[in-house]
Amino acid sequence: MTRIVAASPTRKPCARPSATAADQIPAWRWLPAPRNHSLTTISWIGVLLLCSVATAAEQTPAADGSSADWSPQTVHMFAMLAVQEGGRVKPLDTYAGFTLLKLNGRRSCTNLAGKRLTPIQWLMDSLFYPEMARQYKTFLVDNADVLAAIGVSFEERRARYSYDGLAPARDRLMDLAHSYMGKEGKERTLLENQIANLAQNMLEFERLTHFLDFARRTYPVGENAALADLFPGQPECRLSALLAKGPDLSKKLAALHNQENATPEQKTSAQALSKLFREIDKTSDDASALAVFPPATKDEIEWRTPADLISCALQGGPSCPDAAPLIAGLEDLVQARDDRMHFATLAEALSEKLAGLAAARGEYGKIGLEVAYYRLDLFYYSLTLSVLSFILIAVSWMAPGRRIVSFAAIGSISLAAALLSAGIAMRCVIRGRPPVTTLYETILFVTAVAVVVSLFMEWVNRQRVALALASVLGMAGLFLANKYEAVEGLDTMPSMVAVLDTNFWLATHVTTITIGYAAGLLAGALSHVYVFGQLLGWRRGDAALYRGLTRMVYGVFCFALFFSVVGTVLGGIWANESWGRFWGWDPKENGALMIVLWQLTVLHARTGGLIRDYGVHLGAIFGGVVVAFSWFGVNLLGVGLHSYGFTSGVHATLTAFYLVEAVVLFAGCAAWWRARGNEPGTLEPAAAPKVNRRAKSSQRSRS
Amino acid sequence: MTTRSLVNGDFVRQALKKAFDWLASYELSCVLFLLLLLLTYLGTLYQVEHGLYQAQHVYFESLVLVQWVFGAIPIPLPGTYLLLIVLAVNLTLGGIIRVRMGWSKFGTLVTHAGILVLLVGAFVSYRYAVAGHLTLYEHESSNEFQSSNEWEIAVGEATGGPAREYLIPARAFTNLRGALSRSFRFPDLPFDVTLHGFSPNARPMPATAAGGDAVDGFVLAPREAEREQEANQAGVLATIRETQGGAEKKAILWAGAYEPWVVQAGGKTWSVDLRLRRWTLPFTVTLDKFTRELHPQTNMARKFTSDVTKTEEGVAQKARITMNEPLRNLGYTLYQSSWGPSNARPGDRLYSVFAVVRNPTERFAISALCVPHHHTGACNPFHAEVGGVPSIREQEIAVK
Repeated sequence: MTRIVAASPTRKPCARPSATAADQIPAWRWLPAPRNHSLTTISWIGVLLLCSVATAAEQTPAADGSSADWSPQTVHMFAMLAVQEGGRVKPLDTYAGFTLLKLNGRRSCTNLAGKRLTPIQWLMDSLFYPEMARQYKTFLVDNADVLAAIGVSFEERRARYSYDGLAPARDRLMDLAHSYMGKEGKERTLLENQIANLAQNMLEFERLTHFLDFARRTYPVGENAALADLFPGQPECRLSALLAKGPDLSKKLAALHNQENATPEQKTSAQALSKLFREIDKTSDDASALAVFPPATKDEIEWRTPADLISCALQGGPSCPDAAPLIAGLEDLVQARDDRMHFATLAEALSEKLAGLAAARGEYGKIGLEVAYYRLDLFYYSLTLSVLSFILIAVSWMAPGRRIVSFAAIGSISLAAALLSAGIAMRCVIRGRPPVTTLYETILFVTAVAVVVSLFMEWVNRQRVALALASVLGMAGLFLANKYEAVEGLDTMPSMVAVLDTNFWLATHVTTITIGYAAGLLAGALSHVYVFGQLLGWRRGDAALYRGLTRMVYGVFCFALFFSVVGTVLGGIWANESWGRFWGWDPKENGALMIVLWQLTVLHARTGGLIRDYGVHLGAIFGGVVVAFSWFGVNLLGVGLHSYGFTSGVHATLTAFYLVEAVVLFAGCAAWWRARGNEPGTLEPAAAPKVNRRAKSSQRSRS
Repeated sequence: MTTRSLVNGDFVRQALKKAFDWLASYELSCVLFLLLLLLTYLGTLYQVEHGLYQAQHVYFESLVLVQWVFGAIPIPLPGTYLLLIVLAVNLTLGGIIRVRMGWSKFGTLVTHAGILVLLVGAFVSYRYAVAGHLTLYEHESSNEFQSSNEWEIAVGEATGGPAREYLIPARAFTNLRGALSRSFRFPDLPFDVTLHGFSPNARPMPATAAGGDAVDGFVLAPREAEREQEANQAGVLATIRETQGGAEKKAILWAGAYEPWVVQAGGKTWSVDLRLRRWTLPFTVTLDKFTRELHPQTNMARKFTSDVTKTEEGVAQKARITMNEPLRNLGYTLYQSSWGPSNARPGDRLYSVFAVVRNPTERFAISALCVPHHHTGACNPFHAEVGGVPSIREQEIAVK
């Protein structure tokens, strides 16, 4: 059983949280740098502390101010901090990752010493060394016109710019963005959107760099006669000291303002006190970027930012007795930033305290798993293995006799599928949801289903075609997921809108329809092999290969139709439960219907003998286009009740897909025309329709 | 073809057989699927510019339509309604009747039968389902709900309280465009009403600005239909003529008016109101409390909850309506649909909007799919709660 020992900021032992709360913190022992929460691993704590002390002693900020060089333990401690953002509690590591992705287009950044920073290192630099972070090239600006519009010289495509580099153009940028944001989303041009996005990114970065401004300064109290009794002999004090006496300050201010016939001294005191409150307000405004403090009571759901704590403490309310010590914890950290050992000790104390508070609310249990999920980066390794598998298959084609190469390819792609599935499973556990709840997750799930089904077909068919396809689909799907995540730059585990808040329908309708998408695309992909094979004369005499391909496509098509029909009907039943109608001709519903109708057309045409092998394959390729329209295309229309699925970043990719498929279909039709009369009829014996006796005579008469 | 064979009925038999073969053929199935696919695609794109209601009207509920290509070439197409009727026939003949009976074809039969159930359900639902909405502020009660897009004209005595109303249904006046007029005679009322110049979306404008039939210096100026059907404000010109004396009074009936038209006739005061169609529920609903929960640190709704009291024959019962958990009672289902005011501040009185549906085929889809249902817990195709549904309040009147 894992338990935690909570420590006060001064490192004095204090009562640990209740066993129930503590038990909710899992022991992710296999993490690169585990938190020392466990009593059962108490001996490791000492070792780790010694290591951390040793490392911290070695690592200090660079003297030239070019690098912060945090110790791995400190970085890990910050990564494991919980923050509430976008409706859910997540690791600070996740927040940092997506913020940097949004600003920089990737999850890394280079510091002034040329060292590559992880997102959490970048965030720590931004919080504790803002003057350094402002010089990092953090902002990706792809379009030269954006820079021209704000008067900054363009360096090169995909170049990054530092905050300090863009700062002279800040006012111009904000003015432009303000004018563009007044327009409707559809009326804004691409350039206007890019300018508005850059402005938003700069504001977000500013919020982070100013987040701890309150802890970097002191407040004058010595010259104010009204405060002499509260702060005797002190010319100035920290904000936490003021907050500790927040109720007294509020009372004093109220008394001074309400006093009739106030003396000039009293008026001066009232003005000075008001000025002090205004100063606190001003600095606390910036301290609202991160809600890292769990609420004081169980009933509250909103986590608190330092700004909330400051406001609450100054109002003297009963709900924030811990405001002053928590703010003091941040002040201590800021002041100890250049003393790595002391900083690590203070950070550990604060993180222990915050983790304990979050755990007591049952909101810390999955933080470790989520940090592990992003650290392990399973989808990246899955993508790498898919590429490796494809290379191995290509090698096996060039050297057919080497079975070891084929086995290695099968092993690679199988491992890639396993990692992909494991990643999806981790997401399910983290969110407590079925595998598909967002567009991003549909890409992952479709890829996983396509790869697994391809592997199954390879097991049945053993022609190495489905195996190659599994590699290609794995690569394409994971590349697309990666690109989608980068373009959106938003948390891929967002909160669910009210209507989606039902695991029953997510698990049934959404999962089923997504399997239908996957199978439809897989059938289309398989048919590409057939069409290109015929066009290029690949293994021309190998009739078994092409027969096998046609059978596979037909089988996958039937599989796709089954899941598409069931998924569509389940969607209708859900709509009936939620909106009061089974079918409302909503674009997303129509997209699903179009998939079903096209698949029915192809299967009925084949069963009725209206088309043969070429027809099935060209039908499957066009089916892939219909799936793409239903999956992403209807989301670009921007209308309908499925507004939670809108996206704008895939337009170019989708258009390119349509164009490529149009060319493939045209080429396929040309090949069909060339082969007319000699077209194989692979499915004829198996799939010819059987009719009853009455129908037989009518069929004869028709023929 | 000889006269003899015609007399023997061979021609008829052969024609019927050919018709049967054609109606049951794969060729027809494929053509129907392709046309349905095309219409679904066109209707989906049409929604972007014209909204869902118009798209449904033009593509999905029509028998025939004209598709303009590049705005210049008209192409006649069958509408979805017609295609689905033919598909039902094709499916019945080709997918059920003509299929050889046996275990090997059991799956095919069940699938086709399931789709047929869906089509029949869609037809019954389209013809007989009633859908509208009910808006209630907190602590407000009502047993009436109204349509979102269907108009009616109510004529009754303006007593300031409940009164008997005569209702003119939409189909009796929405086709009265331009100079086309229609008069309505009420057995107990001292006047007739004549309607003309209906416009599905219009605004009263000063007569000098727009021209046309002026009433009290105003005319009804037609406007482009809004993308969202709910935003349209219909208008029609009304003339009442007293049965005794023949005195006439004219007015513009406009759905956007705050008050109905009040007019004196036969020594009494009457109201004539163009409004969204209303239905009466067999129970009363009181909104006790509406709660809108947001995900923390966002403006994204996590949950909408309406705590209501349902009063039926004097018996009150508490219930909760939330997303995915509607309230079902006596054949009617109330769904959480919307809320307002959108700019409400903490402490402001809120209202909740319920979608109200009475659909005798509500459970058809489940029976078609035959999957366990999370409410009933089992596949029960005959679970539709149709018992006890009262007749819809509608007193149509003789059209002269």
